[in-house]
Amino acid sequence: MKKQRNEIPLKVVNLSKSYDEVKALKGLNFSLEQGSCVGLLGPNGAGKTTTCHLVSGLLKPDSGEILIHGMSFKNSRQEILENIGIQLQESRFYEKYTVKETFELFASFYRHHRNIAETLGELGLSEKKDKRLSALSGGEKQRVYLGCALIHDPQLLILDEPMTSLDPSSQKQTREFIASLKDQGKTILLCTHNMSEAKRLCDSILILDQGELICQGSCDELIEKISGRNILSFSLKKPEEYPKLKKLLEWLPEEFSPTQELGLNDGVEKAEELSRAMKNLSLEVSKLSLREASLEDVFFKATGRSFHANTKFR
Amino acid sequence: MLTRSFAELTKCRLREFIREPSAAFFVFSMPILWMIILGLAFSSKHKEEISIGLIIPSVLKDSKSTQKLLKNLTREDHFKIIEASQTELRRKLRQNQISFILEVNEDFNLSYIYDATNPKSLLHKYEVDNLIQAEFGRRDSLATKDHPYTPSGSRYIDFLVPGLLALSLLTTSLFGTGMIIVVSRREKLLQRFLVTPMKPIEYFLSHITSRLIIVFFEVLAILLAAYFFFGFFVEGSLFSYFLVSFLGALCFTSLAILCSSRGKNSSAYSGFSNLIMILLMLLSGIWFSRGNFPIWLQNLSVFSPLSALVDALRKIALEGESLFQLTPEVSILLVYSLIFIGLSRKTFRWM
Repeated sequence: MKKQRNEIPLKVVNLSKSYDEVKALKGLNFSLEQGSCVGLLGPNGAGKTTTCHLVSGLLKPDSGEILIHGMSFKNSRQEILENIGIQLQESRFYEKYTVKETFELFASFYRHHRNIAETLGELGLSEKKDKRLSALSGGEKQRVYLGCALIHDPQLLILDEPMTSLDPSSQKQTREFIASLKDQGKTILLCTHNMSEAKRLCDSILILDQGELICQGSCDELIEKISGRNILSFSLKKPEEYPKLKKLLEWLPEEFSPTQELGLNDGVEKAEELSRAMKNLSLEVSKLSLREASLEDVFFKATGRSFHANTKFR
Repeated sequence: MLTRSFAELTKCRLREFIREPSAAFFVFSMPILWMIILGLAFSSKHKEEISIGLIIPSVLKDSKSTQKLLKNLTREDHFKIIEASQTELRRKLRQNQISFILEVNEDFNLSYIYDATNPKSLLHKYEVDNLIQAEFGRRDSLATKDHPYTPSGSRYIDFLVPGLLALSLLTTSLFGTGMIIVVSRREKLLQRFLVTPMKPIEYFLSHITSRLIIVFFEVLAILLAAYFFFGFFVEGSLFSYFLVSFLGALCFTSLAILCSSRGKNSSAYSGFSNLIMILLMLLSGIWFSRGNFPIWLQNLSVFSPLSALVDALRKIALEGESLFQLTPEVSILLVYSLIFIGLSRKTFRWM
């Protein structure tokens, strides 16, 4: 049964899940528009995989609701599973199975499935169809896993860390394939901790931290609203001279830090202003740089913590 | 019931088996190797060697009677004559290196020194003495004739084959099916299956069905090898023999699914399976008759699934019993299968 395009492919309402004493998700809410690619981002332990497992029906929520094309797992589990394609992190298939046999196995689970030869062709695996999985590269295996998620032509795809532990070339292949799925109008929930991957592929981003959704929106929106488009950083040879600078430029922070990083939407103008002020005050500069902000900066600004380390945002 | 996914999953199990040469080796070759080794070890057609410690006084060494005695003793291939001092021969007797000592005195009277508590020593002494007495002119008062006879099913190999087959069914189920499930859970393949519309029952049935297909060839291979190497044949119905084997495989595959219902660690599973296997083996009387057990253990061991399978297979093969006569054993296997399946349903974890 293929769902109508006007139905919301995935809606998550007030979703919570705990493991013993640890609250993995605390009242998560979001929904996916038809044909959108949404990135679920967060550092390790943020609750991404728990969210993926919940929306895949692998786990039962403590509270809240998951609606897939308007159906819930409680009442329509089989129907939902017929309509979503799932690729789980770290799942490994039978190594002694060939690519074609693997597709045939997964195709047999569904009432309707795509033509296997066509699917092999789309994934660029036609020539490898009789190769065993043990003989494939990491990227090729990843395409097989994606193929198994797509074999029944689902409109909603849930991909959990599809590019983890792939070499750069395999990552590129996989990214291009996911982009092609997006072009075909599939709705995709991409769980990842790779910010640049999310920025390249996703129309909108959900950032999770410690089980909570801390912000959502398109990549540009998040950068503009939260971190600012540019990151300006500078340091002075004589930090004690900072108050003179602050007196001249009110937009500067009160406290000076040698690792000062300022998120600004008008970074170019502000950098010129800063440069002029330093010149006028004859201050010696040891560093002055301006760069484009990234989603890491958004996370940094929103949580006060680095995405990859626990350094404090200043 | 025969859905496409069930058929593909069953094909998958069979492909896994065929593409794993070590699995095929353990299923087909190991029981046959065991059968050949044990069958040959316990079915020697040669007469048992009799070692005789001989003491002859030096004055009689060249006498005609001594020569006649030695000629008779050395004529028999299975007699081994050891001449040494009495002290040395007594030491050998103590160490069970000879059956008895035959001492000839100067008047050519014979003395036998033997271990009266050792039945073999006594038997060997009688055999040698009879031969010597006959050669030196003793006549039996009645004519006798020997008719050696080996009744069908009385050989050790006849006893061994059903036991080996049952053991093979146990080990291949525990280590085949169970290990595949544990590894699939560790590799998160079970979790991946769970997010497809595949029905869990189809997964379990695929394991059982593929095992039964493999069991057919396993039983066939063992029976053919036993027939060609040792002339073993099934007295009763071959159909019953296969059916009981399938029932045993069903029971042990269910046990394997139960044992593997939680774990992700293949080493831990292996250790656990070995423990179960040793316990069942000790109770089952695969290698030797359970008649040697204390009565309470004999009574208890009847209820072991491996004992039930071994008993049923032996009764069909050696006594030609029908399935109806095997109701207790068949019931035990069926009840255990149902218990194991029921418990597996409760305890099985896909993640």
